[in-house]
Formats: sequence, C-alpha cells, structure tokens
Amino acid sequence: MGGFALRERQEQELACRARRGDREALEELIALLYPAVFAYFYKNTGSYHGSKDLTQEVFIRMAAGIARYRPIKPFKSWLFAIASNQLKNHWRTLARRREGPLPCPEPAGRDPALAGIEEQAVLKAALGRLPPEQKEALILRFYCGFALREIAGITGAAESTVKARIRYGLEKLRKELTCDEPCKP
Amino acid sequence: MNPANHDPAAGLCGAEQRLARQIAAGPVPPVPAEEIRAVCRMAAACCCPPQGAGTLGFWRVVWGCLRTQCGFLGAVGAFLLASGALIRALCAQQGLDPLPLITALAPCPLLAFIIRELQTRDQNLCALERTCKYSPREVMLAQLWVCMGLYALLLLGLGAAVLPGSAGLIRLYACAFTALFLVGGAALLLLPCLSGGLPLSLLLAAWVLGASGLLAQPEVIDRIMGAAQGLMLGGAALSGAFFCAAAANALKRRYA
Repeated sequence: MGGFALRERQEQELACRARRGDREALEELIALLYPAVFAYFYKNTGSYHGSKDLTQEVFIRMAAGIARYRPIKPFKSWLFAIASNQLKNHWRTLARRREGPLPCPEPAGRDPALAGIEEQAVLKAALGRLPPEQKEALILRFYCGFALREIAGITGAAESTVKARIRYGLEKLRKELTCDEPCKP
Repeated sequence: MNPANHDPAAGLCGAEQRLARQIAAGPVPPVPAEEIRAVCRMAAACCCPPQGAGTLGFWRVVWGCLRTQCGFLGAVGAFLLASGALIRALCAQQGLDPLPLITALAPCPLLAFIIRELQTRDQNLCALERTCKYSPREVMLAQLWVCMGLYALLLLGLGAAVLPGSAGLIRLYACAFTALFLVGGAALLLLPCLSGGLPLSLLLAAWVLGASGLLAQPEVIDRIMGAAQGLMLGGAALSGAFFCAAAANALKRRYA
C-alpha cells in the first residue's frame, strides 16, 4: 500500500510541475505512465502497433491539455479519461470500416507446458468478442486496478452502469470459457 | 497498479475470480525505451499556454466549427419554421392559443443537438484536443451560446408571425426558454449516463406530447405565467442557471 501511495504522490507532483511549464517533469511523467497506457490499449485492441499510435495520441493530448488539469482527482484518472475517449474514437473508426469479428479461438491443446499460453490466447479471443464497453470496464478494473468510482469518471458512465458492464462481461466470459460445447463462429 | 491490500477480484465467485486474475496476469509486449523517449519529446513540444475566449482567434475557431454544422443547423431551423407555420394555421382554424404548442416544441433543437453529440464526438474538437491553444470545452460552450442566440432570433420571427403584440413575445420567450433550459439541462445531466440516443429521443417525444396536452389547459398556463411578468422571467433565469451548470458538467466529461 505504501508503494502504491508513493507512486501516486510522485505522479501528482510531476503533474503539478508539468502544469507550471516544467518540461523535464512532463517528460518524466510520460515515461512513468507510458507502459500503463500502452497496456490499456493493447489489452483492449490486441494490436501492438495500433496501441503505440493510440498511446502517442493520448500523450500529445495530455501535454496539450495539462494546463486544464485540476489536482482535485488523481492524475492517472484524468489521463485515462483521455485514453478512454481515444479508444471510443478508435472503435467508431473501426465500425465505419466494418471490420469483422475476431476469429474463434483454437481449442486448447493437451500439452501442460503450453496450457498457460493457450489459456491466455483463448481469453484474449473471448475478450475480443465482448462489447467494447464491457471489455474496457473489465480491463480498467482487473488489469489497471481502478476503483469503480474512478472507472465511472474515466469512461463518463454512471457507477451502476460500470458495475453492470463488469458483471455482464464476466458472465459472458464465464459462459464462453467454462462451457463444454464447441465454440460457434 | 493495484495497491498491495486491494484486490479487485475479491467478492467474485470462484470461476469469475479466476477469470479476473487471468485478465490481470495477461502478458503485454514491451515498447523499446528509445520509442518512449521519442514520444516524450514529441508530446513536450506540444505544451504551450492556452488562449481563452477573449481573442479573435478563438472566435474564428468557433465560427469554423459552426460552419461544419451548417447542414444540421439548417435542418433544425427549417423544422422550427415549418412547425411555426403549421401551428399558426392549426390554431387559427381551431381558435386555440399557439403558445402551449410552441413551448412544447422549444426544447427540440437542443435535444436534437445532444442526441447528435451522443452519436459522435465533434471531429473539430477532437482535433483541438491535440493542441493546447484553445480549450475544446470552451469552444463547444461558445458554439452552444451562439446557437442559443440564433434560436432567440428565430423565435422572434416565429413569435411575430404567430403571437400579436410585445406582451405575447415576452410570454413566448419566457415560456420557450424556461422549457428549453429545464428539459435541455435535464438531458445534459443524463448525457454522461447514456451511450445511445434512443432514451433521449423517447424523452423528447414524451415531452412534446405531454407538454402539448398539459399546457393547452388555460389554468396551467396562467399558473406558469405567474401573477406578474417578473416571476416568469425569474423562472427563465433560474432554469438558465441550471442549464449552464449542466452544460459545463456534461462537456467536461466529453472533451478533456
């Protein structure tokens, strides 16, 4: 808990210095938060290069808008709100291009050494089939570790809506991944 | 990313807990440090002091954004004018007071704008998010108030054609803007909770039908008007303050 609070305090201090025009603090802040934002996009989109582009956009917007940040809430929540808006733009762009759904995952093999890797691949494919809002809520909650109230602030949805998205997302994953029936495309 | 004693998976059933832990444990490929440094330098170059609404450049940006919405604004204006003509003809024929119907239609332009905003984020404002020169939220608010001004002009023309005398115009403005601010403010408060336009479309339909019927009762209009015009304008001012607060809150969430 001490390490987490220390890191959060470090981020807030860097953000306040960056707001006052400290360019070094801004660069240090980006270097500190880049992995978290990249991981958020990678988990949501599954695309390495796409996630790098989206992450770059987020930090450009963050730098352009840092003067508008008010330290009344954690800086990371503010940053992830920008990231969430970028992700929504990304999904709308994909929908206009009429991208097809992700392919159905291969059944897991019997080799125990590969089981863990294949399990992750199956989970990744199943996550890809969830509605974008549910997938995003699951990733913000269980990978990024945000509280429900913070996720509500990041995504602009009500807390009850976030809870429902997480519940339905987990239910769909549980039915799909623990079901014995073969997967239907 | 989690604090040591905070487990988001706590409280879930066995299978869901396992899924939550798998989501948390999923590998993420690393990005080379040199690429991260390049992003740092590029982003830092974008940092500059923002300019507010007091500059000519700001209003040029607002005008540029409004020009891209000409089609939408034209459609809304045409709808209001056509509705006004229809209301005038109907009320003249039936001997009815046109004010309730115009009041019922008053929030339509704003709700249409909010429903449109739900479907897509304005690309001009998304582009502005990449610069620090102008705040997208301030530009959006400025657009909203310019449209309010245009709407007031449109009501002037409508009122002059449908309601005789300056007293009729004052009643029209007070009723129309009270309805606009109250229903519009409520819709803006709902905006962060909605992901699609259907609930607001249903709200708009329910308001138009309900208000047309309710406001057609003479005693209801008299009560709303109040004993003196000061009460009426006070109601419009209060609802205007409610609308401003709701607009500022809703736009804060839409545009960083």
